[in-house]
Amino acid sequence: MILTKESVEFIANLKLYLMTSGKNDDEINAIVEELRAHLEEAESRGKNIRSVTGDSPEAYMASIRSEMETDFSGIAKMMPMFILLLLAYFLTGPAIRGELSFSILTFITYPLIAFLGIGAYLYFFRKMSVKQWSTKREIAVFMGIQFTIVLLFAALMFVDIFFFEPFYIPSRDIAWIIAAAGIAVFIVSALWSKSWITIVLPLLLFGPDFAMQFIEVGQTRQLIISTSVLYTGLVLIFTVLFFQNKKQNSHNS
Amino acid sequence: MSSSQMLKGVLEGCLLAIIEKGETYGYEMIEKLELYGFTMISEGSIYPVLMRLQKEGLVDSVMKDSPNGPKRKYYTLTLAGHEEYQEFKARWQAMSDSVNRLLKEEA
Repeated sequence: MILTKESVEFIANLKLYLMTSGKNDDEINAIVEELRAHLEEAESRGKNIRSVTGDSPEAYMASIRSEMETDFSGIAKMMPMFILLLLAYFLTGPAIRGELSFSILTFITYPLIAFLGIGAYLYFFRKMSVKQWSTKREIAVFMGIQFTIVLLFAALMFVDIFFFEPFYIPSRDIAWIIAAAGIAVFIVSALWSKSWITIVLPLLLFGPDFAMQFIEVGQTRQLIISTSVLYTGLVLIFTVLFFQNKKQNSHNS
Repeated sequence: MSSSQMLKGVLEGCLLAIIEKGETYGYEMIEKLELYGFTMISEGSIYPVLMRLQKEGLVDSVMKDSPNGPKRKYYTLTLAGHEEYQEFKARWQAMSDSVNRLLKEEA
């Protein structure tokens, strides 16, 4: 039995909403599967989704959420990995290039921006899933958040370079150890989340820098090579994701 | 007050009554409720109630294959569920008697 597009979207939104509300994964899957089975049976008898969710899918999702307990231990388990990953993304590149330095400013503000960024994403994910925004609006909001974060980081970096003295510059050996720790975090996170993104993306970001530590190339050429590897890689990733998504959708509907 | 609002308070008891008649799953409960004239509720509203009943230990559930399509979650009453159902029946009887007497007198 094939669900209508509306029902598929409702199920996906419900799942996202409950996940970003910090509910337990097993419980989420249980209620989502039960509702999917109900929707399939209802639709096969010619009913539509409104007869199941009532007039307000939003209120209906909230009524399910309120019957589920928030899985704080699940969130607590996720947060350290999240923070480690963020640190790994920020530190691995400079560590490989041997450009790592810490100032009071970056030490305090980088984690702060990271937390604000995560908070903003969670907030909009929840809002998005109940309001059923158009794809255009979703993309606009996420581009907005992304842009704000990058802008904040850029502004900080600028202030940092001109007004703050680094209070700690690790030696080349320590920098290599930090880089190795970063790579370990990427591998562990890929195994843990069973996704290849945290292997491929760091490889694209930092692989060229790593290789060029051992090859003599000019600075300009180095920049051109690492930038073109990154963008070619990103285009490839998005193409793969796009086709995967398309295949999945044609399976479901 | 709409009938769906009125029903909210007693839906828990009605679901206990339906499950008491024999092991059943979500969609079938709706069909049975409709047979008794409960057409005023949206179908999905039984699920938050079922979640609550399960949390309170009044029902048990088990996943079973369906002839075609996804697995179904079948519910049965626990011992506590049977007791709660009897209490609900007594409470409802007392309340509906009072309401009926009151309305009859008015008319």
